[in-house]
Amino acid sequence: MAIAQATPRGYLERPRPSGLADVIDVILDKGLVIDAYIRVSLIGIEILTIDARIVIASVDTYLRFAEAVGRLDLREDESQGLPELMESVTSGGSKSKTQGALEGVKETLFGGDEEEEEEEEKEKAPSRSRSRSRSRSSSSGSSSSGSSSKRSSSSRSRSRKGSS
Amino acid sequence: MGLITGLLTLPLAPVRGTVWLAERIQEQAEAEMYDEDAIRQSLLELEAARETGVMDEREIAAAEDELIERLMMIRGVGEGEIDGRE
Amino acid sequence: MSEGSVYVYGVLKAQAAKSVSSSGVASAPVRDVQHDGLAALVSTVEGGALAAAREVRAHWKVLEETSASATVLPVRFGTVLESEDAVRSTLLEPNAERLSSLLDELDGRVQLTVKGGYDEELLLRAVMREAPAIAAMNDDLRRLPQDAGYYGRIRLGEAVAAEVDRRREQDTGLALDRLAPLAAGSRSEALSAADAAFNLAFLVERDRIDGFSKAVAELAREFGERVTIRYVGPLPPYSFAEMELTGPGAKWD
Repeated sequence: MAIAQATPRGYLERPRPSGLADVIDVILDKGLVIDAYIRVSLIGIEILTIDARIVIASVDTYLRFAEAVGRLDLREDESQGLPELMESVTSGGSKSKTQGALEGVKETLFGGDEEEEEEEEKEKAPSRSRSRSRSRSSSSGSSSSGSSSKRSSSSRSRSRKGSS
Repeated sequence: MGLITGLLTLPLAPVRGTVWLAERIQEQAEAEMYDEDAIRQSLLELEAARETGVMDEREIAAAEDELIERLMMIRGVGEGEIDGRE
Repeated sequence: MSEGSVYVYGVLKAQAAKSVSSSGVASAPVRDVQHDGLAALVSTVEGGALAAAREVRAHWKVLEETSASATVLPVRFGTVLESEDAVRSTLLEPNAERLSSLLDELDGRVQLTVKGGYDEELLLRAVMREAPAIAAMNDDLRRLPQDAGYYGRIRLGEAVAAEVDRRREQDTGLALDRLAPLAAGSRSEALSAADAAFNLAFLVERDRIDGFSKAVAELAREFGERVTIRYVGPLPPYSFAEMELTGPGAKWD
């Protein structure tokens, strides 16, 4: 399953140039931080101090591991392979609802009426993210929960303009 | 086989890691960590698509933009109005 | 002096500053503001809304272009100061010494990132094989009906998670053993995916990249199918340039 097997042998002999996927984390989370005291946040960006993204050992994680292990046995018993698992993910109506990013990708890439489906997707996204950014704000102690919903909705229209 | 084959054979062909994550996402409402994983995974798949020339650059960029903005929303990094300072 | 807020991309030595062809945030041209042997890369931002993803890309392009030939300390995305004067007097001047010495340390070096990801199935099978107690827990659970055994599943998952963590430590250690000797510095960064094995940043001399790359390829062979390595770079030294910059008169806690 290693990527190295799917590509020419020389693939690791030089570092690959950094695609967005590789650098998006460091761009958003790292780099010199200029104290808010001297920084005028005219852009209205809330720079949260993102602490180390350690994989959180929590109940959720434990459940996930347990299920994954359980599924291993399932595969052995019933020869249910990857294709069946993927089928159940892609075809199930209720299951596809919260796939979030993946659905968005699918829609953008293969949707017939791109505009409409983007619209749909963005309709779904902000309500989730609004609550998410609200809870983020409160946990970090910042006081702009009022503005966060404004931010999400304005980014919605903005990104429609900006993404072509 | 890997990312690239998966992408070519199915309309939405997440690699196994993504299926795993996708199933967990549906069970746990918006666990931020997993949403981010899915976003990152999708970004990697889009990069692979770019390399194989399977998709139009414009489509890829548009999809990437949406994912980046989602990541930014999750992180609370976003854009806002710039007030003039008078 | 020019009015207008400025978006800040990064800081480098004034003598290394060249003109930047990539356009920056809000499609504005990038220029530098100099003080005391240092240069800050900036561009003007006017009032109005910005498209988020496009600006992230613009920010990155500017850094990518300048880092190709110079060492640049990247500034966190989204940083705006009120004027060029503010850049000189509140950013560069009070922090000149720290910035200069950091740039000296990083001179001629780039960041290379080596990330490892597990093959989930191989990982879990290995865990089950090597920890019979866990396999036994799993067997017990399988005998229960689907909706029973919630707490059992949590305990199983917890045990698996602990094993996975142990392996992560081992594999991270192995990667560092092989690669750190070839680098001027190394950092183990936090993992950002559930099936991640390690996320390592290395500071490598520009003329030692080839040797380092060979070692990475060798490491990949050593891991085999178990771990997929993603090897990325050169990057601006994000992991080696963490600094909180304050203005004049700001108190240190």
